[in-house]
Amino acid sequence: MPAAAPAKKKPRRRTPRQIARGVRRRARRAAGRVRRIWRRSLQLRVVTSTLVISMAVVAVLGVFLMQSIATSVLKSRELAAVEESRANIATASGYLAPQTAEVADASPEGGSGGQAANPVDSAVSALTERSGGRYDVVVFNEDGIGDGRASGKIDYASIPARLRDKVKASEEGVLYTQPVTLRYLGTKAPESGLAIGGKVNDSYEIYHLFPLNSEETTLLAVQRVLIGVGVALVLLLAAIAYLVTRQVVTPVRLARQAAERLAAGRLEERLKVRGEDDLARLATSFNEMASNLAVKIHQLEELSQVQRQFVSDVSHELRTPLTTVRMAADLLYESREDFDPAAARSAELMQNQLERFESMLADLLEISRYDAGAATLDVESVDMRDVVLRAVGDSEALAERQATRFELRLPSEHCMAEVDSRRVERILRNLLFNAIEHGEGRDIVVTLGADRDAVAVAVRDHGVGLKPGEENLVFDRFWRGDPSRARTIGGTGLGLAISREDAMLHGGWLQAWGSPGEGTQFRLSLPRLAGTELRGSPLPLVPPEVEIRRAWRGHATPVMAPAVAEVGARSLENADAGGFDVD
Amino acid sequence: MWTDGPGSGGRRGRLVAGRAAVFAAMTLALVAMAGACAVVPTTGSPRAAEEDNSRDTLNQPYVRMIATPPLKDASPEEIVKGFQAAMASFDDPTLAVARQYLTETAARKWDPWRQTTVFESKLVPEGPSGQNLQDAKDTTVTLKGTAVATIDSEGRYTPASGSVAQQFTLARGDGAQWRIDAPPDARLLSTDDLKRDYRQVDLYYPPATHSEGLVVDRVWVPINPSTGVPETVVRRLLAGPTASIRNSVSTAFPDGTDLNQITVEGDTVVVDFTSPVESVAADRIDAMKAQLSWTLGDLVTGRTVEIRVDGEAFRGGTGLRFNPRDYSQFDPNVLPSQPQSYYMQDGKLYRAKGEKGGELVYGAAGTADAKFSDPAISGEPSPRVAALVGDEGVWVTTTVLDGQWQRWIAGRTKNLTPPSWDRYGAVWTAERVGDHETRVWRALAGQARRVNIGKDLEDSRVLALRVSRDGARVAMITEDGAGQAVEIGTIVRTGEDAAITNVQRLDPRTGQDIVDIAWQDAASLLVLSKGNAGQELSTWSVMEGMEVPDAAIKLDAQAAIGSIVGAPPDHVLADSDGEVRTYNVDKKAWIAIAKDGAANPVYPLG
Repeated sequence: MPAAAPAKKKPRRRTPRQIARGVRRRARRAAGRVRRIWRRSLQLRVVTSTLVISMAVVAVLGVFLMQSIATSVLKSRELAAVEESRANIATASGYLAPQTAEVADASPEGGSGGQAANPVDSAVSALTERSGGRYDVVVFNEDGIGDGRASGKIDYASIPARLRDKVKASEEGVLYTQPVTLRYLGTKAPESGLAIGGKVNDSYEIYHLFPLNSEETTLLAVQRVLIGVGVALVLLLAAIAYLVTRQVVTPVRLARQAAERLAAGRLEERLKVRGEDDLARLATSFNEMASNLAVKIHQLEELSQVQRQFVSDVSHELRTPLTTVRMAADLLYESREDFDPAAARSAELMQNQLERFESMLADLLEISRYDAGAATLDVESVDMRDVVLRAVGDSEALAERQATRFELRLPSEHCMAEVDSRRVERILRNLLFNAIEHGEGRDIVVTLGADRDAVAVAVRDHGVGLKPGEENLVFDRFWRGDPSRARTIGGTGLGLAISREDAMLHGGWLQAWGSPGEGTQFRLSLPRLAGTELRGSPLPLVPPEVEIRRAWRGHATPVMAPAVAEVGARSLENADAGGFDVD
Repeated sequence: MWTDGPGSGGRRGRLVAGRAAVFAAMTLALVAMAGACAVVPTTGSPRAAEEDNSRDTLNQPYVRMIATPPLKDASPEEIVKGFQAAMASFDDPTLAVARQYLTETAARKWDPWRQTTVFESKLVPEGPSGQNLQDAKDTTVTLKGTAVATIDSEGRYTPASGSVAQQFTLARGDGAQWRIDAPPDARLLSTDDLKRDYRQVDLYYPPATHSEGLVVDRVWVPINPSTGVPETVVRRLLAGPTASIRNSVSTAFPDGTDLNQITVEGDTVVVDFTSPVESVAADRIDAMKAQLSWTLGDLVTGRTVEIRVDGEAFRGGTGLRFNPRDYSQFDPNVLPSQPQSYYMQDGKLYRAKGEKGGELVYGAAGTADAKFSDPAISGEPSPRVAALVGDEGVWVTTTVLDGQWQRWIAGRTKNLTPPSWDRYGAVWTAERVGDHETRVWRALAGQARRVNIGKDLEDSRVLALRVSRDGARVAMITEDGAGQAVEIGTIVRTGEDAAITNVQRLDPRTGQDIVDIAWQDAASLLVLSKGNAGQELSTWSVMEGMEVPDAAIKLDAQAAIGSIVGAPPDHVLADSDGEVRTYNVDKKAWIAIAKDGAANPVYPLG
């Protein structure tokens, strides 16, 4: 970016290329906006196409109309002009008849004193007088010297050479006509006109030059009217199209808005039905659909309410007999040494299953409390390290039974967060139990990470891992990864579901990552301050070493790889530095 | 929901209103379309007529000559003929086409503007007979014809006569083409060309004494085809009067005024001058308007004239618009169109009343107390009479009751010419002193002063003296050794003094007696002469020095007319056989208006 550097130094001076780029960018943005509006507005499309089509139609019609009017106006003018020219030429040929010329030639010898004026003068004077200034007359005679005459201010060069050639070569009595620009001597402006030429007495060419400015004025007025009417017509059509599409588009738009609101959950949204047309029927159908949906949703809500109530009631109702059963079972269990081995074994089993039953019941109650929205947070500021340590301590016994070791990576300084420590401990316990159960005896890594806004705990096992797509299923109630596997620890199947509810109650996340053969990692991320929104997690969801391995396996470029390895190593180091072993 | 109700109601209301409007518009359109079916209306209410003002109604159509360049291999005669035709074309003021007929050196030197020579129509070039042109290096072509007139550069027409042979020397130019080597330094035109390309124009100028009235100056101007007649005329007016009356008139237009253009807007003729016209003195504006009105004459009759300056209103005001009719009091002829005539009967002055005799004027002229003759009537509303009374010179009386004779000019009656009034209230007469001297007197309010006259006039004998009605010229019958002649002089007034200058002989004919002269109007003079064929009455245009061809009034061959008077436009009175007769133009006959010894008819002034 060499161009960017000077631009930064002198922000006011911009090179032409930059300006061009800016203009192009702005144009592109505007084009994009237009395209968006074009795509989104049915009305605009309809009005635009109406405009374009009607403009084309009006233009074609207008041109046709104008041409036919012009032709008829000019044709009639031309006919009148030709008629007048023919009459004039007949008059002139009388004056210019050869015998007159003889007499004129004879006159000087006779000395009668020029009473007979020059025949050309007489002829042109007669024609000019007859014209009264409506048109001009020009006479040429190639054979006679001094026989050229013009009337008024007309510039005789207005007669085109081609017309003169035609007339010169023509028979007597044949008139030629050609549209010309009439030029005048002096300041008079040139105007369009018609030249009509004919030959008289073999040598005289007589041209009549008719100005057509009155016809031009008429045609211009007609043209103006046509253009005005055309523009008005096009605008009118566009307005009509606008009105018509408005009548169609407005109800559709209202229906769309209503559907959007309905989708947003406002089930009471209805359309106004006006009239009995198709759109009204659409609105009626929409309203029926909405009310049916509302009824169904209401029914389903009620049903689930009933079910939740039922679960809650059942759990409560089961507790009282269970307490009695428990007391009896405790009694039997304590005196199991007195029983025969089979009975003693039964008593132990009963004791175990009762405990499980109890915890399941507790979990059920907890879940139903969540479902009922009755769960509350008991927030206090605690050091997350203590919370983690307490959870790990609770799981130590079970871990030892499974020959599993914990590897703790905790930061060295305090890591305070506003949380409900009981619920967070329960989450961590659940995660640890889960890890121990699926860890297959391998080490479990517990990492605590923190940044300014959030804290996170990741629990990593190296068990069978999760299949793709199971990351979200694990939080479903009573879900199990492999139905054939027995529950060794005796989880209720509700632990992760409750944990997620707990995390969400904090405004945090509970997410799972797993890969077959590489184990699983659960990450709990919580905001440091209760009630704030969580924007990110201090710990990665995918364990760093897996990420590194993937990078190696993927496109292991010599430049990138060490850097990534270094990063990975450093993060491990950091983790090591912050962690300490807990036995 | 609450706010939706009324809103939708309002929209519906608007929609209903909109529909009603659309319906109304469609109905209107339908009605209009139905109306448009009848293309030409057959009924309707009367309204003010519209006019198309774009037509140029000021310029009458006219014909011009087309100049054609010389043909290839033209004979010398054809070259001369073509040159003649090209000279008659006024399209190009530099005469570029005509110069193509000249050799290069001649074209550079040729100056056709000094003078225009007019010939009788049909000058036929005559080449040298018998010369072998094939090998000749130069040749001569002669144009033979009758001279008619010359027109000088300021447009003054001078008649000429006699046959003229104009020689053209031709030489071989480029490509062995014949070209004229020595053209005359004049423009040669035929009378046809003159008729076609020139217009006789009366220019009007106020007298140099700044008194009211105008003086005619008649010139011939070539029509400039690029501007047309009115602009040509006004430009000529701005160029100033001809030399003959330059000292006796002045123009109201300030120096340096030029014309931009003349256009017609409706019934208004707009004359657009350049800015110097704004410097005109306030008391000269009327004179300026009068000059314009009278010079444009018929062209602006019935229209309004507006003077503009470079397209803007004159002096930025509301515009200088005027009706030419309002300036009729500047009439150089002074008299109304039906002037009052007078005659003498039984030694008394009568005022004519139609064709039924007349009544005596009031005052001393209406009595025979004093014997008087040759009365002259002044042009005032209550006219005065000047007459030769007894043997004691020129006396003046008023025509009110008890008006008495007063002597204005002393002298012996037989030595004095009949008195003549000018429009400024002065009485003129010429006195014969001794045998060889003539004096001219001009008396104003009873004070007679001598008029300066040239030596030639002093030496000749003046038989009659008439001051023209515009007061600018004087017509005289003079007699010298050779015979009688009519001479026209220009009056130059300087302060109290006056002079007669620029005396020109009007009638070139000799050997005839001039019986009487009378001014018909400011520019033409009636001359009653007596030749071998009896009496003859002719009308002469004094500024052109030629006889007006169509104005000849037939006289009875036997009738002996003693005196004539004329008045514009065509009134003529004559006395003959004890009757005063008027010439009826329509009937072409003389009709008596007073009989029984009536004589000596008089019109005011002239």
